[in-house]
Amino acid sequence: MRYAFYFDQSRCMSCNTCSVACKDWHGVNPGAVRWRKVDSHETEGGFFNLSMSCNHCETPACLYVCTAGAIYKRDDGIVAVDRAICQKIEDCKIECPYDTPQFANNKQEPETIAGSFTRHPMQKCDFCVDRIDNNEPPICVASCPAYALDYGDYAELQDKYPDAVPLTKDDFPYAYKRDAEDNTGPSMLIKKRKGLKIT
Amino acid sequence: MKSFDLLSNLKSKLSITRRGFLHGALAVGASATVVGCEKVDEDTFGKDVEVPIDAIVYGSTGHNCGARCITKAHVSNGRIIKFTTDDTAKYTDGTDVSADSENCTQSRACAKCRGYKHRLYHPGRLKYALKQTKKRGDLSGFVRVSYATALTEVATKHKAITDKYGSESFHSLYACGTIASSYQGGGYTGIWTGMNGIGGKYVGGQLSYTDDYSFHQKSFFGNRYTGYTSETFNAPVVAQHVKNLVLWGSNILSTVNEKAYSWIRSVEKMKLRDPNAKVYFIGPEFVDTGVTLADEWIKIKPYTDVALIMGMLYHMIEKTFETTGEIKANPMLDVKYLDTMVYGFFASPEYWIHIGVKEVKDENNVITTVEVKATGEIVLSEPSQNLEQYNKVDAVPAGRALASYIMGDGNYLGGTYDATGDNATYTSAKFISANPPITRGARCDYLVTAGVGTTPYMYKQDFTTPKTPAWASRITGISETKIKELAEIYANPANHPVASTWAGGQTKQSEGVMTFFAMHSMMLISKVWGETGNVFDRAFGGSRGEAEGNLSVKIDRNVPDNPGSPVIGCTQWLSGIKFAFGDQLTTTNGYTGSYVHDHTVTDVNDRKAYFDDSGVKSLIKWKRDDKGKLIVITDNTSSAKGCYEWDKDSNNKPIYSGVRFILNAGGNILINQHMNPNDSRQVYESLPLASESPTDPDTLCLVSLDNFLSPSPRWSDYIFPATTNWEQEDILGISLGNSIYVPVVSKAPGESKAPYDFTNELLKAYAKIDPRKSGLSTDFTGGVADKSLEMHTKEAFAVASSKAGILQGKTWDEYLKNPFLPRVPNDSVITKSKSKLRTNIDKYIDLSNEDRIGTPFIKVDTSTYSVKHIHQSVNLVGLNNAGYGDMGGGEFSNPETAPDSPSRFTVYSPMFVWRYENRYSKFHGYLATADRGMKNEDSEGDPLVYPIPMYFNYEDYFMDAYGGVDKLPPVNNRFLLTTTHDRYRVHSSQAENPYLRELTHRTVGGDLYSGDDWNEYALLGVEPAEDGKYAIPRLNKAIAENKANATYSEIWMNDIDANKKGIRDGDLVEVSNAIGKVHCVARLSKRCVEGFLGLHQGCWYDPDPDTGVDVGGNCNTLMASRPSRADHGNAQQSAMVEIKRVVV
Ligand code: SF4
Repeated sequence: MRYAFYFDQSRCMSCNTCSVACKDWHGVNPGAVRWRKVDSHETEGGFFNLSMSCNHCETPACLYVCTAGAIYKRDDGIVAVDRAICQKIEDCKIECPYDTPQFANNKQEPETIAGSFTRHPMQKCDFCVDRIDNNEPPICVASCPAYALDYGDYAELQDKYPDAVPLTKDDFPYAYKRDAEDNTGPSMLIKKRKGLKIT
Repeated sequence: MKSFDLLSNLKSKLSITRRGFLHGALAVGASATVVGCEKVDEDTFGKDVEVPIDAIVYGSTGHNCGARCITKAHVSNGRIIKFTTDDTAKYTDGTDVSADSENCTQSRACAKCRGYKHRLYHPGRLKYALKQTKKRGDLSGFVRVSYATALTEVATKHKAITDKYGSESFHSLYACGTIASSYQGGGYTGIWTGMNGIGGKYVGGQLSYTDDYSFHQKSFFGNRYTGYTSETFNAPVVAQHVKNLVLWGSNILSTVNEKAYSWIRSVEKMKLRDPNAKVYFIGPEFVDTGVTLADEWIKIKPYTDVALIMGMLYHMIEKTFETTGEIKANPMLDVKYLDTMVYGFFASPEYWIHIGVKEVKDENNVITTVEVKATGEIVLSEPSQNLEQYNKVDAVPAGRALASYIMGDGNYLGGTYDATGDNATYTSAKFISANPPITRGARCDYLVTAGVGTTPYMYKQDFTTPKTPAWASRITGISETKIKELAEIYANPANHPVASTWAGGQTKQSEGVMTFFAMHSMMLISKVWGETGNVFDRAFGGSRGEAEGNLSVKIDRNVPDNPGSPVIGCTQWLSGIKFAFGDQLTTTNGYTGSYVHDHTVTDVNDRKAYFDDSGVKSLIKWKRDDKGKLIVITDNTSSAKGCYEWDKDSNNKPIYSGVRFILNAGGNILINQHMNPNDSRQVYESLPLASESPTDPDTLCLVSLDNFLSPSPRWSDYIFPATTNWEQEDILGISLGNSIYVPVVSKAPGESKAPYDFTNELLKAYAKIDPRKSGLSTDFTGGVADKSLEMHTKEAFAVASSKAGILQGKTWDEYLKNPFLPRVPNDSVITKSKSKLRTNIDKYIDLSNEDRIGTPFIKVDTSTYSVKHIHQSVNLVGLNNAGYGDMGGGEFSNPETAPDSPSRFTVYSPMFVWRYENRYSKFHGYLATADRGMKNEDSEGDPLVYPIPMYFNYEDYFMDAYGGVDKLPPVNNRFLLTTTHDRYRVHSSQAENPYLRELTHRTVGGDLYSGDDWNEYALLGVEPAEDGKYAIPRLNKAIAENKANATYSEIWMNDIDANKKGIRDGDLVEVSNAIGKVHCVARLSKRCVEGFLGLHQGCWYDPDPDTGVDVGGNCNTLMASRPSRADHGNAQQSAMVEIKRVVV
């Protein structure tokens, strides 16, 4: 089992319902931290929407650099953080090709997490393990008014969406940090939007 | 029997376990984060509230976002902690919900409803009744008063004003903060509304308005002037038939969430069916709808759609006629059809057409007029007999036809009608016998009184300019080739069906009416009508299916009728205030008029209605008969015969009612959402306060009911705190399903009351000061005092559950667990067909040459729809046809002078001009004859309104609105700005919500999502301190305190432009014109055309107390007061501005 997200770029309308639903469900206060980010990227050939959270990679860069041992990967592929252990070293943020790990400030996270080592430990998408374990889809998937998001086992998603391609830097450079390497095996499949003619 | 699968994946049972008699302060205590005073207020009206403690409750919203979706509130410990949305898995017929269907009706909410937690529990919620004691808008002048005292003062003031000035001086303002429900509706369809709300009728009557701020121009133009009607537009039509979908600026994916998926899925299916099918987006800002759906973005400068259409029509004419006027071998346009069916494209003589007469019976059913069927016979001179059976059709002079305007110099149109060739029709055969023969067109000869070389109006300089694709290209920025290509898409039947969508933005531009006139004309001329998929509409989708389980809740009331009264256009109330208080709005009192450049303070003082007048001249006190009806003057000796009789003061002068009392129930039109807040503010601040003496009938009184101290309440005299959805019981119609009852889920702060309860209490307060009003509150609540909406609903439910139907046998608790039933989609195949009129015209055109020449078109088939469609609805239904969209102006003292219909489609409309010049004339008996109706004259004495669609250069509007050519922004720093609705506010509702605000606001120098002023914005609702001073001086506390985390609204700007101006992404910029100044943060994007700025609708006006700069970034601060042409609606999508970087 390898949990993955599917994203239909030809359907996404960059409405941010997924990202707001995510903040609301997980109780993330208003402020810069948002586990799922939506943007409309302007590149050659048009404008491309992308809704992306953690890609729960096969070989997670964050996990390997975390000297505190706060990041772990579940048998079902979900990459999770134990916030109590996090020491806010922030190497995970540096190494992640997608800039996924995030840290709140005092305003956004006024309450200290009980028993945590640091005031604002790393946070990121946890694939809604609370919901998954309860047989419910992740909140983003269940929220999308455009039915642009799906989730499931990576291989099964490939079968279900034969048009989808894996997330790679070649196809989706804007998903990556500028100098990032593309070697973590993201669990993300995307149906690409066709190019746009501008006249 | 259909099975119904009640989804039971709710995490926990709905359990209503605590019933408490809650007083306001206790409610505050229950909502732990609500700050402010918590002392018990003895005046709070207690209310028996049922509160769920731990539950998941179905609900929706009441704001006017264009949709109504499902959210489920997850309540824990009496507080909503999160929301989910609809996850219905089976329809009521037992079939699976599937997103494969473009009609899928699972009702998934958007970000606005998902973010509601931070709206409900916002620390800035209003809690108490407030009264202004210093000067309107002065935050330090608000004092807390008891709810009861405020109600009594408001009722007393209302009575004093309406006793003296008549019920027409009371205006319940257009509002849409709580639109969806007529039970709790704050405005629009609700209890208090200018249209058909009941609140105003209970308190003695009101001045009503027509239509709304969104679609005024579209509604005004209607479909009757041209006769164009769209075919059905829905998602399966797109999926199954449409070949080209042309989005003229549409932003539906953002503005109507309910339809978004239908669009996406039907376009997918359209392309699967036909790989050559295309979606075009034409607009200056490539909005999200384009980003998602378009194959091609055709970049156009704002406000130039009509020029594009004229360029397209030029191409069609050029491809139809030789330069000499002869018809080409393979003409692009169908000349036979144009001659037969389209009046005014070409010149035509004056003629009479036989329309027959309808049978008339007297009260004893005896026929008094025998029916004579229309023959369609055309005669060129006035018939000597049975004249009443004919319509007189005005000549279309050769230089005035639409084709003449397009060709400008008359080239290509010199040919005369042909009665012998292939293109001859009965009509052309008749026209050719005119003496001298009628040519199809000539050099355009609309008058330019000042002379073409002198007039500054650019549109007049261009009358004789050929509107070639090259001309259109210069104006629109679209290449000539593309303009021609678009013309071919519309004119070549091989490219049909073409579905075109108009956008809300087009109907809020200075020349939006012209856009509709031009679009209708273009589609009539190119024959894009009358066949499945040939459509012109705003939106499709989300709609094909049936809903079951609607609860019909009827509250038995004996609502008094509104007394006879004028009706004004919805945007004209401010002009009405100026009309009322013209004598007080003086420079001495502080009204300088400095934000309005086409109307002087003297004009205001002289009670010259702004822009003459859209109903404002009708705002005097009227005489009524004992039934409350207006009285028509029948006295033959009176020069005002045919007009209504008016009241007079002791000096025999009319009594200027104007607008003197405004109830603003859940809206922000009062200052924020109306053009030119700076001017409104000056008006409010220079007139004495209502509260100085509640019994004084001569002061303006502004009353707001709201959740926040947003700009409109801020400039009001009295403010009442209101509940919002989740805090009030309500019945909400869900767009993709049935209506659902939503119980109270969360306790509202302080003394907040639902509109239903506010109205009940106001009527009680009224009864105390006016015995005639006693009993009205009981009538309002359905004959039983204080009967709650919940009780009414439960009774209705008891009836529904005892009858056959989907609710049969259900208990109330079962119903509450899942009240939502999505519509069962209708996915059936749609067969391509033609309308009856189209069938008949095509049949006629296929007739042999001889038959066509000998037969009037309307005789082709006497049993057909053909005559009825064009003819009966115009002539037999008559002058008062609703299709004219008169906005209350259809009250004519002289209807007999109206032009007759040509019984054809119309692209040259004498009726358009006549109606403009005679609107409201029945209310104008008190004026000199020359001042009756509306003056169709610009500053040079030329018309404002012509019988044809024309391109009016945007520079001309700005020149008039800003006070001269020299008042326009400098040529090297001139930008056109529009204000599309993005999806993170509903107009201005939810501008305070931090979950949404952070998506459109940025810190200076910050990137996307850099918003970080959570809990530092919109905090004004807290109680004033003991000394009456507000601790918080502004809406945006962080800006007021100069903090680095302060955020500003983004303004979208083309990156090349920005580069030239030295503006970087994230820079603070000042955007200004002759009307106002705003501060924003620049967002650079290739999604804007050069020369364009996009400042999205709905930020809250927040003027800096020292500089007057609106740091809230409200786009309307830049919008001139001057209304749009012809309809006098709002032109709030039209601004010309300059921009500069602000060094911080
Ligand atoms: S909810 Fe769906 S359509 Fe909206 S931004 Fe997220 S993925 Fe895109």
